[in-house]
Amino acid sequence: MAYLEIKKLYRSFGGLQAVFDVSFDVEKGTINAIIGPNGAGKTTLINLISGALKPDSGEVIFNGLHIENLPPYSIAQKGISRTFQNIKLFSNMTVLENIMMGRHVRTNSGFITGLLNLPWSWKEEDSTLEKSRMILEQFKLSEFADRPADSLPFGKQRILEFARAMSMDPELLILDEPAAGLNMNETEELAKVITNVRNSGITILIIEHDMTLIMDISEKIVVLNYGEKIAMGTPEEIQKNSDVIKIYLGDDNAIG
Amino acid sequence: MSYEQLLQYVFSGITNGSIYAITGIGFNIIYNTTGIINFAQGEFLMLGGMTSITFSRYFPLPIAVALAVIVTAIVGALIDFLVIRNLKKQSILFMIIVTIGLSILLQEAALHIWDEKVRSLPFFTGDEISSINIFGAYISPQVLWVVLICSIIVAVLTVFFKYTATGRSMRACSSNVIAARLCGINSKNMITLSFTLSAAIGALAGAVVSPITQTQYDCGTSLAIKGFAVAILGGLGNSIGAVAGGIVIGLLESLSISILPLAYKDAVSISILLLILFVKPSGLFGKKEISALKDF
Repeated sequence: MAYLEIKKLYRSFGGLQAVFDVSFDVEKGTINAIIGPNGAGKTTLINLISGALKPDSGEVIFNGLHIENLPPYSIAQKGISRTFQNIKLFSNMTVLENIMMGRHVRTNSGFITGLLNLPWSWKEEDSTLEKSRMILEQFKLSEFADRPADSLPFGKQRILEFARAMSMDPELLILDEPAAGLNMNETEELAKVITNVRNSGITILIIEHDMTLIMDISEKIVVLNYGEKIAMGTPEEIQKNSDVIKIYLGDDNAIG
Repeated sequence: MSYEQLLQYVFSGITNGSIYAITGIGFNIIYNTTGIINFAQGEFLMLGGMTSITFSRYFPLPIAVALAVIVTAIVGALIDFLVIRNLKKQSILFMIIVTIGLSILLQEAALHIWDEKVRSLPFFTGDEISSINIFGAYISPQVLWVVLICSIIVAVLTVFFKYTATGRSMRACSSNVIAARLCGINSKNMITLSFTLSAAIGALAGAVVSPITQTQYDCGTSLAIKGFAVAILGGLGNSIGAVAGGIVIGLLESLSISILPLAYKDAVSISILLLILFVKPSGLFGKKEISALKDF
């Protein structure tokens, strides 16, 4: 059984069929890309996987568990974390607190202990703090630790969101256009970070418009158009696929 | 006006201001996690006062107040659990109107459980005629209790929201609920918690002010309006702002008595509320974006 299985997923908004009969598998420890023109249903698809949206029908199976109808917080607890195309940080909280929120899923203190501030929740608070500082160090954000998240420059905010997703110790990391708004150097840096994350055993699902980045790092590519999967394969196969060339470069016959 | 008289007005202003501040903070806690203005907030104060008066017949005062806080907190939790959580239409305006309905319901329930008589809790220390002389002004020891409890509530809440995982989660929900859910936070439980917490704080406030202001089934409404004015003045969602706003409105009210007839006391705070809404809707300390972002 595959690590993450998407089976016959459907989702529509009013009359618009945003995701139509999409199925594919993701192997553990690989980088998988979803590409397609604007409005192809890429973001809808990962919203369905991360639980932000519920499918009309179809299945999402992660580690042998059906997750398609679980609420987002419980999917997060199962080890799936994600970033957003338009960054969603806790803007009025500090950089450090943002990371600490990411650690939240990995702490045991529940509702009541947290509320009553029992001794073991203080201990856990200390370890959360320590671990969060380590993550900041790792992503070179330490100097910003006590600044409000929305005071960071855009590029740093993307890195912070990435760091927050990583602080959850995910098994599957979903990245929604992580290179959007980054310059060439930052994008190269990002490619290295993503590859390192994969090498540490984390599976990655990425949406991206930067084709150079996608072709460089991914092992498998799924191509969507108008909500349907039109192709799937290795970067080489996708580059040669006539359907994919058609939607990206236009139909030769149509131009005539 | 003599110096002693002025001081007397100032102390009475600070007392009322502290009461308004605690009510305003109650509004803020729920507003921060949900975006709802809970118009049943005043009823939490009323319930806290009423239940502690009833319990005080059977238990010593501290236990009676503690029980009242617990009972009211449970009522707060139930309001979310039974009503807010189950609304089909989760629109903010819709939920606000529901809280107005709940406030009427709670008042009527209180009228049936107790009656329309005015009651009050015994003074925490001393009685109605004992007073302390501070710089020439005479104040009731209960006033010190009110100010003390208000300060403790603000201090504990500040620590709670800043240094505990649960407090941070509540702030995270208010900042970005989608991201909070994806960080593994059950946002619905955070809403229940915010209702529970505000009800508990309201009940504590209701009990501590009962000896001074007295408690009746419908005393919540006027307190809620003052608390709302204070929360708006301080900037919705900002608890330190609510304290500042509370003191400002409390002082203006009590000083107005020296120039205007007593009957105009309530008009002062309502005028300030209207003025703020016209001139600076984000309040004294609120951020512009916050007032612009919320959807009503």
